[in-house]
Amino acid sequence: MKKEKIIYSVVFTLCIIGYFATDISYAGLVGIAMIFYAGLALALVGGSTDKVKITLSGEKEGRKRMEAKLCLTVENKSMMLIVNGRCNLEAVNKLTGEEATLSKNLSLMPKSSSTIDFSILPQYCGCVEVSAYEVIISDPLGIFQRKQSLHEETSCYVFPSMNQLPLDSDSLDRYNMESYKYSVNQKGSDISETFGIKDYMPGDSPKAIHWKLSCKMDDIVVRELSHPVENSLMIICDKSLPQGQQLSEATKDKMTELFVSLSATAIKHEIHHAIGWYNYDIEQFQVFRIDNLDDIYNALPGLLGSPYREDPLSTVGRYVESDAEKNFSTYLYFSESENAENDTERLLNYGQVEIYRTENFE
Amino acid sequence: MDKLKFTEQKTLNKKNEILPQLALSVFFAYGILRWLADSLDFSLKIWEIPAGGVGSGLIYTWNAVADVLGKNNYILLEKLSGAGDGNGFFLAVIFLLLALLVYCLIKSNRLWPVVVLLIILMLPQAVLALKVKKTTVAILIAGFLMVISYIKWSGKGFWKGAAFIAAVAILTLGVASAPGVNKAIAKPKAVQEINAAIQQMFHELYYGANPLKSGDLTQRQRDDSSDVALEIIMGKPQSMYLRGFIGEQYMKNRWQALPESSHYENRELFYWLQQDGFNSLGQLGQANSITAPEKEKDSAKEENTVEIKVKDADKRYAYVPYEITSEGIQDSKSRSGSFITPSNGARLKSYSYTTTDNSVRKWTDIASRVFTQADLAGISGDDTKESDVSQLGRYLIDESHYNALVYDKYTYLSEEEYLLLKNNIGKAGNQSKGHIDYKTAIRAVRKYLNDKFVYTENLGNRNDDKTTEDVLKKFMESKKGYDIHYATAATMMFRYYGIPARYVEGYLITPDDVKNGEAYQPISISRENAHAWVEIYIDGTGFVPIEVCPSYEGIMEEADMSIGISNNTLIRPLDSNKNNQNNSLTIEEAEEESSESLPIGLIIITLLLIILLILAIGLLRKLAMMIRESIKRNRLFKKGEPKLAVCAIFKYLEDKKLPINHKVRELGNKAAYSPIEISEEERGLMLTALKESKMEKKKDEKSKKNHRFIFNRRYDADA
Repeated sequence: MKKEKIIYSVVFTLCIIGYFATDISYAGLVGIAMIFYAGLALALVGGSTDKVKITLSGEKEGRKRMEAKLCLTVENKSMMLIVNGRCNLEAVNKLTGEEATLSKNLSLMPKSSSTIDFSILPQYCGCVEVSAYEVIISDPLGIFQRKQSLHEETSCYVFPSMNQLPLDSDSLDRYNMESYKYSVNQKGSDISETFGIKDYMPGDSPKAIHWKLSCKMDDIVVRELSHPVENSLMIICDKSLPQGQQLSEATKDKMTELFVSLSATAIKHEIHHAIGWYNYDIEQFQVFRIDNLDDIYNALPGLLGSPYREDPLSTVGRYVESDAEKNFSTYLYFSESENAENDTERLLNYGQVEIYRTENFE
Repeated sequence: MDKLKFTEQKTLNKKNEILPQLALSVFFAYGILRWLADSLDFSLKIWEIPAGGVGSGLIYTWNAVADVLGKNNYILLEKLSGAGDGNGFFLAVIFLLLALLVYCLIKSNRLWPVVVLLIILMLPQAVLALKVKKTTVAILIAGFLMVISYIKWSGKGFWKGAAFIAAVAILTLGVASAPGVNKAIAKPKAVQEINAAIQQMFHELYYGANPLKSGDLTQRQRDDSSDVALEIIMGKPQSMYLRGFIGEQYMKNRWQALPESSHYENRELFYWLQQDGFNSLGQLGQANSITAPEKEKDSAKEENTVEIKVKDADKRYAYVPYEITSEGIQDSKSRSGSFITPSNGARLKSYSYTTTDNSVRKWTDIASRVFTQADLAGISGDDTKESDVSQLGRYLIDESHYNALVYDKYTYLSEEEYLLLKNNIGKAGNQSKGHIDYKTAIRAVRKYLNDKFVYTENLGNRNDDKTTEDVLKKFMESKKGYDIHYATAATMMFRYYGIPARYVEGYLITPDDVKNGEAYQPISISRENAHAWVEIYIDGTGFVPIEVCPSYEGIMEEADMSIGISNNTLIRPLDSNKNNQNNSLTIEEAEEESSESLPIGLIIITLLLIILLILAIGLLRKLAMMIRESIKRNRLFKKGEPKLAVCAIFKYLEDKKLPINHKVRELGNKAAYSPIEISEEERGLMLTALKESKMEKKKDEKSKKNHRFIFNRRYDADA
């Protein structure tokens, strides 16, 4: 806009110079036309700004290297014609950090709307957030412009491929032992082990009454049942980046795919487990129980929408500091960090740790 | 590796793309063709399309271009033979090619070629000051802007943009048709004066300044600088009049040359005259050579080389004497044998030519020889047989054609000027058989100017507006002036007497300047030697200078007026019974619309009004926005969701620094931070609190003002 304004001013100045200093017969006419143009353009642009409504919608799920259709609906609520305008859109893959921008030209009659169809072509998996962040209303020459800020957005989850990983059943079976452990923190419903004793409260099951102790204590007490720790495997995805280290989009994509594939492979071998990662957007360590493939799909939005960030603290550190369950016997730690071995030392206090990298699966 | 990207869906509807492109190509091409047609004076009529072919149309067009450039700017192009009946067909082909070109430019999607095309179209027109109609300008500019808009927005909203631009163009044309605006656009006199002044300033910067200002008569004081104007080298140093600027038509406050179209129309005549050996520039010298007695023939034809280096003088004109024998000067053009200007916008910094001996000091003798020898030879013009024509005869036949032109162009007086002269110098005498006798006229003019006027080189401050002042009239009234005024009055007086006359500015090489001059040694001529004089046409002899300024009498050698010069109509075979006032003279038609002067003040006021209007629009817009915001805010406060409304009211109170009590603060915080819903009653409370806050603030401000007033009064009282 600045360039156009400068050109406009220069041309107007030349008209004035031409009128007073030369024999050009039409300099005055062009000067008058420029004044009228400026006046009408300002009125047109000023009258329609802040009266444009944008709606963005599209496919919620997509596949890598396949177009996901999107639709932009623009409504002109003003009485003024929008001769020319532009809607600026931005797409960000929250997982890989890729960005793309698009500008769509608009033109609308008063009190009318128009729909523009377009697509997004993601190369990697992730959560692609498409947002319309501004609309610029302009005259035909782009000299006078007004901007209207917007906050319309829609998301499209591009799912990773879930492949069966070539892990031998012996190594997987290690994680499927029946657990002889009971949770020391969590009550359950296993009658074979008592978690604790408490006073009888109306509503407690009579079957839970500990008759022996009740006699001794002259008061009715009930048993609290224990929770067996059957879920002994946790797969953690490391989304932290040490200072100065960068991961390529392809690596992030591959990590995510392998992470999900490993979970799917475990489920195929009927190994119930949990998956977890630190979500930097909500600043929370997220854990999902995976008992079947549907659970993986339910966890995917969180995984795909969670970005990689530079963090002085590793994912293990975040996990340890968090309130997430830590009663897993084995941790599979997915990381590309060179310091993964150091980072997982603290995890050894909780269970066995195995580190996986993408190179393990090439 | 490929990245995340947007992909756009290709539209299959080609019609929506092609139709605007075609329409735009046709419209812009039409605008360009109209522009060319207006500039080069073609007509664009559909029924003329079959006229001519491509080749003959091209030649026809070329010849038409040559005519336009010749008439407007005296740019001489060679015309070609083979032109057809017209160029309609050729223009139709050009139109199609232009449409194709514009279509390609649109498809290229680049702005700069379109801009370059417009500059190529407009620049020559602007430089050569060719005339175009307002409608044509509007169509061309509208087409150009539509193309720019199309490329900029990739065709989106083309029709709306085109309609907008068309609306602006129509509005502009409509307003431009209003009488006052029309005059302003066509440049009122004040603007023309500014224009002329600026152009004069640039001319002087480029060409150098003429101390007498090249025909501008509005100066109040003569330039008395003594810098070296010319450096002259002569083979045979002698005194001479060097003519530079020739004033052919009088425009109330200036002399100027005849319009280029007039000179262009005469170019064929002068071509054939030149072919025949007739030298209109040095006619006096030629007449002398032809009619000189036998014993003087050799010396009369002896050529003297003159080299001129222009130092601090105007380089727009060549300084040539009345005796020049060269056909012309290198890299220059002669205007109807009247004066010489450089070709191609260059400056005449140094040049040379040949000349014969000073003939001005004996022009009366030359004139009488011409009359006598012509009589003796029995030559009376057209009915003389080709075979009988001697050199003199040839000369006189050619001269007769030139003579007719001179009487046609250089005897014009307007009604006003005629009456002015009649009132001041009396009747013009009996001109039924031709002009007044030369001797009588010269004597009368000299006597009148000598007796009635005072020569002064400083006229003091101006009382009248210089743009409207008639200098001749002012001179006649005030009876004082210097050489430019004397020369102006004399020129008009000679014309009044029926004798063709012109106003001349140039330099005098006086006998004193060449007294000690040596052959081929440079002689410096100072700016003080600049002079304005009148030259009159002596039938058969040519233009001769007449000194009418008393203070310049005796400086140059003068012809003996006692030798008979009589009015001999035999020399002029053409009818000489033309009344002065009926002589047609092609004078550049001043725009009639702009003959009334519009004062500069009005222009400034108009500009100020436009600026004020723009400011007012800006202010109104701001006011409208404020009102709109206020309405929006009130709507939210009163009709919006209660929770949002209370939050908004609380924020408003904080932003405007209105007093907030603890209940209001509590309610505001509750609406902002708690999940509890807000009731209508609470909204009502908040609105009431807002109203009360505003009133409280007003009261506070009022009381502060009063306290300040009381304090100041008390302070003053104490003081």
